[in-house]
Amino acid sequence: MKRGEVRLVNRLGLHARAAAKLVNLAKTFSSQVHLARLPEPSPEPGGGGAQGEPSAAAGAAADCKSIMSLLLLAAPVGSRLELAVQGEDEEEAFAAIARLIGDRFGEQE
Amino acid sequence: MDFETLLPSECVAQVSNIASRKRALAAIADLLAQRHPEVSARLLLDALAKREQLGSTSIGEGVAIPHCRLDCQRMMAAFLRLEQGIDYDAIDGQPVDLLFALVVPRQETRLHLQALTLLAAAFGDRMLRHRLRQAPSAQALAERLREALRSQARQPRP
Repeated sequence: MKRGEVRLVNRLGLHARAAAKLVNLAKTFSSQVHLARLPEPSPEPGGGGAQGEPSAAAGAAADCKSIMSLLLLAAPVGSRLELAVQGEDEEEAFAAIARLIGDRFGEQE
Repeated sequence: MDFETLLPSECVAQVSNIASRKRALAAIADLLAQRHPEVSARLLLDALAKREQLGSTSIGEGVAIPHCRLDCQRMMAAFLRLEQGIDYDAIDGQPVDLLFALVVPRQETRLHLQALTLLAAAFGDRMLRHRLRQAPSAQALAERLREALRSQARQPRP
């Protein structure tokens, strides 16, 4: 299992076209790929959302090979997401998907 | 969200003679323009078709959500059920027979995401898809859809 945090940086967030690109990319790998919303950092100390929180803090995981599932995340720009990839090609899949999200899904803004 | 206003019954139709994605989009544009005279069918069709060119709006299981952002005052929706599924370049390869169209004011990024999420939640339900395919009339279609959206809108979301 390869697990790490990614942040949505494109202005429109995880909208339908971005989700479709993600699905198309995830489907090129045999690994299972999931994304879950992480709680936004709390302004209060000790209020949950501190650094290094366990992945149990993440919300329901969406299957990155299903658009319907991804759209349920309702993730706007700035969202923190946990990307979890499991399978034979998890290293490559994680890197490629993190790159797509970091590249704003190829969008201009 | 008031779903009677968003999806009035006259913007819901079941049609039998549509064989292509372009024709389906044109039918949707006509439905929307009849109800919302401030936008032209031509403008709507152009915007919906342009969005499809960027990538199919199919979300799988025979469902598509053609949508676009326009300089308009409020969100509008239309729904089309086709008697026969059409090729939609769908992500799961399945023909599409249920199309929920959404036009969102250009600035409403968050509303856009919330609406997409609501649609994904509603259409992700196999029972709703079945009930829509079995609906005996456009009126029944409209009522079943609005009921499903209302029920999904009550669910807590992140």
